[in-house]
Amino acid sequence: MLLKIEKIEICYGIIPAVRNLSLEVEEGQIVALVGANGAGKSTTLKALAGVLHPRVGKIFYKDKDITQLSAYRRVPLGIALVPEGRQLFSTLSVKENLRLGAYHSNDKEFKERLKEIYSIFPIIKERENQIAGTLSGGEQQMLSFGRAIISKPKLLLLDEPSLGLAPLIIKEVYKTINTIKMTGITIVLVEQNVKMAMHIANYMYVLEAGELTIQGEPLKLMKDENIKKAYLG
Amino acid sequence: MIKVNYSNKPNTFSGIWIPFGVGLGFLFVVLGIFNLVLDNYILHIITVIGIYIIAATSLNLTNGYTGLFSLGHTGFMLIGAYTSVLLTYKVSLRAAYNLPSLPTLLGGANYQWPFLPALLTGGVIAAIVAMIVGYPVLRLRGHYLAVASLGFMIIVTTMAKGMKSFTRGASGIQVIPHYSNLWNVYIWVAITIFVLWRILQSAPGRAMLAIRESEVSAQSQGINLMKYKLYAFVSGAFFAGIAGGLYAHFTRSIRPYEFSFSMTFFIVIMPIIGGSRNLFGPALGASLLIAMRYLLKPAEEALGVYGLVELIYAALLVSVMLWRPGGILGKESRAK
Repeated sequence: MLLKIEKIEICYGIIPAVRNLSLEVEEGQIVALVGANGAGKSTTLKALAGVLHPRVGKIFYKDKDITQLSAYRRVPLGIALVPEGRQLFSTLSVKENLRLGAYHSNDKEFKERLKEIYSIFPIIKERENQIAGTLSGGEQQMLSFGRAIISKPKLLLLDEPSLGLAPLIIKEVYKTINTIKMTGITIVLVEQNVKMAMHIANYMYVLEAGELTIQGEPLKLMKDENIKKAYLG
Repeated sequence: MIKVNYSNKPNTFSGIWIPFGVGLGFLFVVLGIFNLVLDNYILHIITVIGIYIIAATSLNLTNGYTGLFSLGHTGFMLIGAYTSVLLTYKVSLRAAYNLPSLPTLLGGANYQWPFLPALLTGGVIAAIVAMIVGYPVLRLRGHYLAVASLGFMIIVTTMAKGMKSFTRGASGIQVIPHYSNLWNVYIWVAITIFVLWRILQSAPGRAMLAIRESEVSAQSQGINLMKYKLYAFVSGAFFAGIAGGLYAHFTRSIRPYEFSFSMTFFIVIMPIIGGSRNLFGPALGASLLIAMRYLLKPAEEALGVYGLVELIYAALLVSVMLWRPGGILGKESRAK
């Protein structure tokens, strides 16, 4: 088991956003967390990245308790976050963004990693010296993927990668997520676009108002009438 | 915009020193010529400009590069000024001015410190205070940090007013030895710009830029936010302390309220007007604003419109924000 969450509760001030949530992520899989606005998906992901810390419960990564570990200490362990809305270093160039992604590596390692990243994302290479904020939405999403996986993570956390993108671009983005999976990276995906998430995930958790309601393999869930009604229309 | 250095290692020896040496040589040749041809009044203005360049450039490390909008810089200048003055104050005048003798540990009753160690001590004390204050305050962001750092400035000026046995309170300290001059001020200008340049070219500088752009992204690239915020804040405070010490030994008289709102306003808008993403932007802003102040003083007096300078500063600030949001030396194209 690569990642295991045990009964966590995360609060903003005194208001709990996530309650009694437990989930497991197997190595090499894509696990999707879906649900409506305010269900607590992004909050959970932030707790996995270490940006937030749960008040109750434990998070285990490779059987090590990382519940209270700061975000910057999780990166060398192999956990990388692609934040919601990309959050690129928008006034820096594409290459500078990637250099910051490889913050812990030296020059030589960076050059090698850069080649790999460019082979996965050819678009980024063309835009190497462009200011990140001037890229199109899809290109920005690719760059934020590149920036995250240049640190050689084992676990990649994706927060709403389809947010604000055109349907065609979303398809592109999901193809890329699959490519990333093929390189052996485990992925936790938070998504409102349940259809897209279902196509790609190996396992799915559905959150509602901060609590886990349904879980299972997407193929099985797809047959469930209730889910169809609630999420697929 | 500063270029990120792709290397973890500093540049090669010659790569650093040749451009810096050329710049430094040029600066001091120009100053030498100024010293020969210009009258004392203009040289006085140029020296004041130098002091403000140190203050504005060091403030820009937090406000411009790390995205921490601090309004507490003059508090650190005050600390540097008072610390260095208390150390360099003439022994014979201490009793007359009701200032205490130095404790035995610092040289005793009959000892007057030389300028450089006193100045450095002022900078170091300011840096230590920044470390203590920074740890809780730098958790705040945006307006909250601005207000908290402003509170720090007010606390420091109030304390300087209140600790009468050390500072003579609101009446201030006069007859400070005249140690600052064109040369040592501009040596410190060069040191400040050089150190900042090196910081911004290194891995910590890269971390600071990342924090400015997005704190969430920065920490998820493995950057320790507090460490690099403190790094920026403490380095800035050290140079603020130096600027304060140079200021005190140049004007030869300090009062607590000198380091208050009006000075804060000046040094905060200097980088913004000059260009906060350019290493030389704050220096340009400082030169412009201080030169304008002295140029407009006669006009102010002739017209009897006191406060004219502040009005013009404010108008200049608004125009820059509207038409050149990156400052005079900033890049025009603003990435969204």
